[in-house]
Amino acid sequence: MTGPESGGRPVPPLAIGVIGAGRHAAALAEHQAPLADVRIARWAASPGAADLSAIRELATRIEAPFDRDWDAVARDPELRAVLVLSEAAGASVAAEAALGAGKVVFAAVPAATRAEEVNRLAGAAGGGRGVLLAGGTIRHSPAGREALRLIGSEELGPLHSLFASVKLPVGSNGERPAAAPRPVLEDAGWDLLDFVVAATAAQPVRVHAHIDALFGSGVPDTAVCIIRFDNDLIATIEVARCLPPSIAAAADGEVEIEVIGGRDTVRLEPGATAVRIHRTGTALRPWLDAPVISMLDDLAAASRGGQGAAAPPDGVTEVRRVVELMDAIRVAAGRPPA
Amino acid sequence: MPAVRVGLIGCGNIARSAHLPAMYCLRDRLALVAAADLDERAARSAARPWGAEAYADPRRVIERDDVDAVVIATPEAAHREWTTAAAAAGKHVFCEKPMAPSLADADAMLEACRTAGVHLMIGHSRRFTRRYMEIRRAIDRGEIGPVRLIRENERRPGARGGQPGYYTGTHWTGDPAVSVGAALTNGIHEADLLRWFAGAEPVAVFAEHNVTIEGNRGVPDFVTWTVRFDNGAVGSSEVSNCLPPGYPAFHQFEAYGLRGAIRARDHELVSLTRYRDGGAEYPESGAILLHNQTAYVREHAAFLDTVQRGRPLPMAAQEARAALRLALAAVESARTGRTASLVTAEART
Repeated sequence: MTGPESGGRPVPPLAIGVIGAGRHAAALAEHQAPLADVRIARWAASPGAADLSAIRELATRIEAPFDRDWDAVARDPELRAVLVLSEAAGASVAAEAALGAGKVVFAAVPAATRAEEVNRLAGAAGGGRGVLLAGGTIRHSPAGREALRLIGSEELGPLHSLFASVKLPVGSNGERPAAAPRPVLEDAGWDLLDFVVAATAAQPVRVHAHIDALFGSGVPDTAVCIIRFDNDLIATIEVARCLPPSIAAAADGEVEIEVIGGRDTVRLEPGATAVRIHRTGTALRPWLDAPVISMLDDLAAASRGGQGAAAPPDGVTEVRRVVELMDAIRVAAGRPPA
Repeated sequence: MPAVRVGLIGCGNIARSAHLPAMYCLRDRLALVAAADLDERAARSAARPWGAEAYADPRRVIERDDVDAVVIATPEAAHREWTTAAAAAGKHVFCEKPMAPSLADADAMLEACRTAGVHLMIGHSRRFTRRYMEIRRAIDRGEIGPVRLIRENERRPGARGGQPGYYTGTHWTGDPAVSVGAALTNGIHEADLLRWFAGAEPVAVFAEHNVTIEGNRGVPDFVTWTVRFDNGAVGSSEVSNCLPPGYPAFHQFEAYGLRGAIRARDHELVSLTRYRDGGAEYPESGAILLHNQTAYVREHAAFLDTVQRGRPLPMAAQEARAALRLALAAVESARTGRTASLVTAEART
């Protein structure tokens, strides 16, 4: 397997380490084979992971060496880049270790969930040669990337409003159907806020939020938020575990985003079989590949000194903005920050 | 049964596009005998097909002995003046939404009609729109269980390419002296629908608004709000008036209950879908249940039923006042940046 050519000579594929599984693991195993410029050299379980069977099976499927010691993968001197797919606290621990070892690190959302974790990531990145990239499912989906490209190109004109909704099936628990219910913001909010932060560099000046248990789960299953930013962009965010099973593809959840500018509007809308982006006057763009492909592309680009399509080079700042926005929503809803 | 003799006050866009065609559909039950508008040409245009008289002064309509009822289709800033004058003259009143720009005006209208013993109906056309009528019936039948989360978004095309339009300087909605903005002009529909479908009273609302349309002189043309109701349900609406022409997501309604959901989303080209325990139902998939014209015919027919036959109004004017109260609380929230309590807002106004 060889990578892209450089000066007429093929560049060897980038050897990376992977830590964690999370919701992207299956897609990574499925899509890794066609990748020409990335090779998964080691795959370790998340820090503190108890059940290693699933990740071992995935690693075996793609003939990647499975490793129990995530720290050894994070610090492996043979690896230039590390992809962290862990969730919750495990992500920041793994990313911190890899950054401290000077790696280029891509951490899937949430790379950190608390301000202290962000500070540690910043310290680890600042103390060595480490580079942090971060991003979530929506930002790295084909539709999300295209929407962000349009937003960044200023084709839309000044942004007025951003409506973003993620709806999950009633009674579901995100990627963890067997686990105890978690607040819906923990399941779906990070990806959504990551997209919002990617869409605007503005700072929130006013946040209002309802966080409620409306659908009988006993834990907060609904969050409705309105955020005004310092450039007068107004974001309305709705995350709810409310889809009845009779809705087509309810189990997959629905993502809907509408960004209205002075000249044009971009809309990512849920469909029966795909998430589509609708821009007035243009064709629908189906959701064709897995976000993890975009994450790997960005990781490879940054490792080779370039910049990827979706993740900016200063991931620490992005992660900090996401964490601060989540904390502001919690506080606005009368709940303590993490 | 003799036809109801109607005087029309205000012959602008909503009269031309909605009320006059609806009244023509009901011409066997009513007759337009007089029309007035500050722009007398508009009044003449409205009156001509009916052989009615046209005036530049609405008082001339109200003074006529042969007018049984008036239809008021002016900007809301004038609703109080013409409603109270018509009531004092013993005329029944059909008044376009929003009821008024303030609760004080709304209360004066209610009191004037009560004192005079005439009917007052506020034209909340969505209450007569098939889509929303079906939704209400489904909720009443308990098909989705208690409603917990409701959203109604509305998008309208803005003025483009130099074309005059709402919220620009060429239209009264863009005049800060006359217009409160999107929270009343469009948002009053959303305020009414959220409350209607929640089946509860709002207790708090938070809103943000913006001026987004080029040429707008400062009237908020965008508003988003979220409402908490006294049964714990949460409702939200976002109204934007600057979409490109032909934008597909014109209306988006979603209600999620404990046992199912109802969604009516224009961009899916499905008028109304019910998701129940037994599966999804598409009662009239592809039909345009949001068709405005039939809604206006229904609401005028309901008004005639009340005036001619003494039937109760399907939507009491107090309901319109309640929607106004919610919308005005949203305006207050957007202006102050704070949550507006509907418990205390009543006492302040």
